[in-house]
Amino acid sequence: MPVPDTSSAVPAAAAGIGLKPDHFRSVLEAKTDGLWVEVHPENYMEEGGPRLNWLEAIRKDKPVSFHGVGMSLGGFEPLDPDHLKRWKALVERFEPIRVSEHLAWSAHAGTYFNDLLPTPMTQAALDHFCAHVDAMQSALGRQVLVENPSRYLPMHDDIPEVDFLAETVRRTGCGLLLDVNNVFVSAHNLGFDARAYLDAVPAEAIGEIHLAGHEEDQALGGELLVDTHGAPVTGDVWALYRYLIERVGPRPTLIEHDTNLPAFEALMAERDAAQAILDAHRIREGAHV
Amino acid sequence: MKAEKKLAAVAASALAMSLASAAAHATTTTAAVEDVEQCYGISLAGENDCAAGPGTSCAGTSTVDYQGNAWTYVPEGTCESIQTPYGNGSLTPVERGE
Amino acid sequence: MSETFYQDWSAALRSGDAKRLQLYLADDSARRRFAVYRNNVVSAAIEALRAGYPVVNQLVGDSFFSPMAKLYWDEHPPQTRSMTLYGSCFADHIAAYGPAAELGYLPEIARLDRAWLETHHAGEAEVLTGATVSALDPQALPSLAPGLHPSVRAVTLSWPVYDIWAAHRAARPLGETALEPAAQHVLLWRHQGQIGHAVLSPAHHAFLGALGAGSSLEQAVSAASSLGEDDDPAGFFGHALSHGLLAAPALQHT
Repeated sequence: MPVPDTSSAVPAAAAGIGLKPDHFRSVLEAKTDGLWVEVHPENYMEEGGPRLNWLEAIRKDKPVSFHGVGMSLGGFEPLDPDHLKRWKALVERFEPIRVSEHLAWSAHAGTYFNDLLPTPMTQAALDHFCAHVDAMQSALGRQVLVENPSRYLPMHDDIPEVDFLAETVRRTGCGLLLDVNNVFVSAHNLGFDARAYLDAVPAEAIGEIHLAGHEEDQALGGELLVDTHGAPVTGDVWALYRYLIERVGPRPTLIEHDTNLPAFEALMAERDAAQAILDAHRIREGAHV
Repeated sequence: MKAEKKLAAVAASALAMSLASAAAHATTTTAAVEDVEQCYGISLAGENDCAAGPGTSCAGTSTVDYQGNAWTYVPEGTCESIQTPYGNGSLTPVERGE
Repeated sequence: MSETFYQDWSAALRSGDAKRLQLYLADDSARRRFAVYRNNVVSAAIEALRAGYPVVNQLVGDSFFSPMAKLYWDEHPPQTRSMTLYGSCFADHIAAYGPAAELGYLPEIARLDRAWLETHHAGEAEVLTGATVSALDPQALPSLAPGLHPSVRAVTLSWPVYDIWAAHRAARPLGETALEPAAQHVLLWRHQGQIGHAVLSPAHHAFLGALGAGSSLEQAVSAASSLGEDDDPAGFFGHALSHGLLAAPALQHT
């Protein structure tokens, strides 16, 4: 009786880390199987210099993914043509394995706020958002993954966020970048059920998963969780991640850490924990074949 | 007139020679560098510099006002060791409303 | 979709006053929670400036730097989606910032921090080398006009702060220092991935300034010599070749 080929039963998915300059050397020299890294293209939009050279060196043997924060897809105005042009130039140069942006806005009337601000969850905003996702996909000539943001304010939503995203997928053919920590933070802050949210996500659209740490607000305490990217992934979020992988199967998963940056080894330990969950699922599913 | 031209030509030729000589002695400072540096223009000596300069992330902060009590209009860094004819800036607080 | 939502939010983010947002918020908790967004926006700008002006920050301390940076953000919010080069007018802002009035040299420190950042992120260009020049007819050299490499910055300061700035950059301790206003020329450049910096004599500065403006070597030497100093203008050319200060493509036009 032939042994089931576990490697092809379920496509392999690898875990990666957000790439910070502090870890350039460590990442360049890392030998970990399947390790990939993600950068904000906004941090590589300069004309030249060592930062770009490091990314060039690293991408020779590690896949790089682009995760934008400044496109303002959820904004009112048309996409900024200069920003799109810079994005495209970077995509052509570095050939990222995936490109993603947010369901959020960050600029209006010539001012860039450099934050992921909440888009109104209305029918009119949905039309607008889909047009912007279309425009980004056309400009780059490839599928974009759209990420659910962390939300802090209860607003008058006509459409639940997860339905807003599902409809965007249906209309534009975009994929989703599902940030499990953001689901947890938003569910806590706005008072919805995180597992019900995950159950409603169109599974086949999920192209990437993010995991990060959050912290209680310094003033409001447990009332408000803030997506600080400054702490290890919490147990609650790991549990939610396992639940998601159970449901949708393994997907490329990123550990994001932006503030209080830990040593490379500590970051890799978190990354390895995510990889173990992905591998365990793959082996189990493979055994069923 | 003729003599002036001749003098100018001599001067130009002298300049050409001294420029050529400077070029001949110019040494491009290629210290022993690892392959990766040569390929990518990465300087390992300067790698800490790469962390320098502003960057972007999608991290959040808190509702605590960034102003807090930690703002001051009196400098309190290393400028205290610099004396100028106008003082060192650390002695006289400047009153300033916000 | 109504633009009003974005206008109201933009105004609230700029001013910190969330009263107008009441319309969009589902309950009373929302107004105090809005402070997260306001803080994200303001602190992102302050921290971008702190990262771009590290020596200024060390000289005055975090708690002095922050309100100075916040006021800059009030007057010059970012307009591009990349924060890497945010803060291009910060030196002038410091010069006009009341609480820094006694630190007349501080804007000059900011000019050096800024030049360093621009040098670091400047474009690439093929570098003119001694070997390339040596292969040319010497008689053609005086009329050669090699431009400067895009990373080169020649800064003229009104306070001689180079030693203070360089000590901070290298994390060397700064002893008691006396300082008076005087002109100082400083050169910054990037070569093989590293940033170099040095003080220039006025003649050396004039030489590089002329090349930067597109002059020929002969004109640049003449500009340097006209300062009447006991310098070796041809030596400036050798120095420039050794340190990768000159861009090669200009050669094609001769």
